[in-house]
Amino acid sequence: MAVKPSHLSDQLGRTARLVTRSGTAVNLREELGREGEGAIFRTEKPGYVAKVYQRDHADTSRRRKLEAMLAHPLDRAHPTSRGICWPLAILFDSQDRFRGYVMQEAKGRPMGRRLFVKTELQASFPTWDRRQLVNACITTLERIQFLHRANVLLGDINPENILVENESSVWLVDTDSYQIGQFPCPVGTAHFTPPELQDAHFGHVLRTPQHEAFAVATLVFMVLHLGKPPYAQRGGGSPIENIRTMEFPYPLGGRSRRNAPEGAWRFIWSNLTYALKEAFFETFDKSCRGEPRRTASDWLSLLHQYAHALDRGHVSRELFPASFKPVTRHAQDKFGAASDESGRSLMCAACGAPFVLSQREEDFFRSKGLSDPKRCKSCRSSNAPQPKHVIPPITQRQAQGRSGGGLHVPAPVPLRSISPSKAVKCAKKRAVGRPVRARTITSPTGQGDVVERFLQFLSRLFS
Amino acid sequence: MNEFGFRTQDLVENPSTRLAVCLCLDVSPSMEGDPIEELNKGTALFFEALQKNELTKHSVEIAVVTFAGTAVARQNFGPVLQATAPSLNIEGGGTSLGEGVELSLDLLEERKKAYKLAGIEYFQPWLIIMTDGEPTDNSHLRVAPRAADLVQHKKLSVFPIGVGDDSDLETLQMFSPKRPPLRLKGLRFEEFFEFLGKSAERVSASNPGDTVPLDTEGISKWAEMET
Repeated sequence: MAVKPSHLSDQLGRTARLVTRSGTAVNLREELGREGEGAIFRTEKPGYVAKVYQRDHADTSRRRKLEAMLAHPLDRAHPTSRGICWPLAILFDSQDRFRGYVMQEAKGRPMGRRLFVKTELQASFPTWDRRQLVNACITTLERIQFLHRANVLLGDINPENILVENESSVWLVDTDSYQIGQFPCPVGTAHFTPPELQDAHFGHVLRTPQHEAFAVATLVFMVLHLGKPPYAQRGGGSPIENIRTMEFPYPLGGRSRRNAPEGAWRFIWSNLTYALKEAFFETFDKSCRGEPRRTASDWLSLLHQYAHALDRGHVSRELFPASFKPVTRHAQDKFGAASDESGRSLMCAACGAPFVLSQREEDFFRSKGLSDPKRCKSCRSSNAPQPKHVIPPITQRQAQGRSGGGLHVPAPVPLRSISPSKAVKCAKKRAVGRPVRARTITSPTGQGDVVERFLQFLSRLFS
Repeated sequence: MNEFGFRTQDLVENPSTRLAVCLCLDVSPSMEGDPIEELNKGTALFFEALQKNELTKHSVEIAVVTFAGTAVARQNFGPVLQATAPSLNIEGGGTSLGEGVELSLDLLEERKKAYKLAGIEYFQPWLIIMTDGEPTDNSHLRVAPRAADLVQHKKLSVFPIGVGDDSDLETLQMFSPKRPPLRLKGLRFEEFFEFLGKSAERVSASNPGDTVPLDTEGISKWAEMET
């Protein structure tokens, strides 16, 4: 960053020399950044920076708050504390006037700039898939949980004060705005502010854990949806208006409004675990207004569970999945016939065209003890012959859906591959009395062959 | 490929709040020579600055409309990173300020619809009007109320700029009830566009609905402040 002449340095005098309460000198070096209330400078000590306030912002109440924070230092033994830029010492000038404080230097770039624009994310972390994204989210939540356990509320959780270095190194900055004891957080960001606080004057309000929980949920949603706010939707009001009315556009089971924004967002949502979706829905939807919100610890459990599902291949690992999550039989049994989506897209083994298997049709086949039909409706009725061999995998194109409601025909995508162990489990369930027809499985990684042969082997065993 | 085509792919992949900036520029014969040359240089710098800045490169979208006898959309809204500054030429037929603004407002409306469809948030869009003479038709009488109404309802921010001593600030004022028209000092297009770029950066760093103070001190670098 270019060294700019700073009028703050001029204010301080040419040597830009400050001292701590105990008299230790802190010499300022280059300016790293500037906001309305002050600027951040490197110091002569590597790894430590100073935040120096503008004259009219360096007031008594701010100083008292910092003193309260110094009186409650973070547990330095805890590794999580390393990612939080807590004040370490208060700074005074040569006339003993309060000027600012010293803290550790954060690394990384703001989450909003680094993770929330596709091209930026791909440039920063070209090898990332969802697993690393979830890790980064977990790392962030661990820091938030750490603060909550110390009775500190962040207040203004937003993607500009969370710096991401990599999936396991995340820094929380602007800690001087946190809510500690009776000192409120004087700022907020509309997107992360719960409906009940939208009209509040932040400096005059002490937030509660319930208020904070809304911000945490919004953050988790945005990370998992690569920057898309939960209330952004097709039509309707602006996201802020939608927060007030709690018009949440994503579906859960049978409960849904189908105006999620265009693009990969609906697919991302679909590919989350049910537990995550339920947690989001119960935070954001108007039907759950007033209900207690998940805590940071709750979100951590949910994220670990999601990570597990990613590892097992139950859900798409792609940052931008190209299709809805196929409805598994397990989900059917557990949640009844209703599913998020109105249909599943399959490939016709006879004519090669994509077709949609509606929920109703799927129920029908299940009730007859049959697995998915391999042919589209017209080929079934005309009894077109099924080829003996599997259709080769289709290259995935971004599915472009139309507005929700009714049947929906995305571009053809391969079916999700089932891991061999799962195939065995499913096969065993179906063992007695009924013929097992191996599903036509194709896999983008080209392992379809192996899985297909294994399943054919199984079906021969049990038929 | 959806019905809007490639210009909306970015709306799908980049959820950043957008700032739509429409440049509505006079290219009538009176702009011939140095004025249009400086204007071209200024817009090129503007595009470059927006593309380089970390905040604006993903948030600003520009459209360019020129007007002389008729109004032409030189460039429609799309991601600034994929845009190149147009090289403008003089055209004849008069100075139809009203038509220029009307086309600009239409482009802005269309883009807002695309934002809403994609669930993208947007800042109050900007309309930059630059003209050096008096309009030669009466289309502005019809169009100015439309612009003024949008401004009054906080749906549009207008920057009316008069180029040269002969520019008619009174007519420009009709489009901008809140911000008084400013006269460009000499041909300081570069300074103006630098100011605009910095302002765009401030807006991009803000939240929709915030009141963003623009660098009013910086304005004196390029504008004559009239009493």
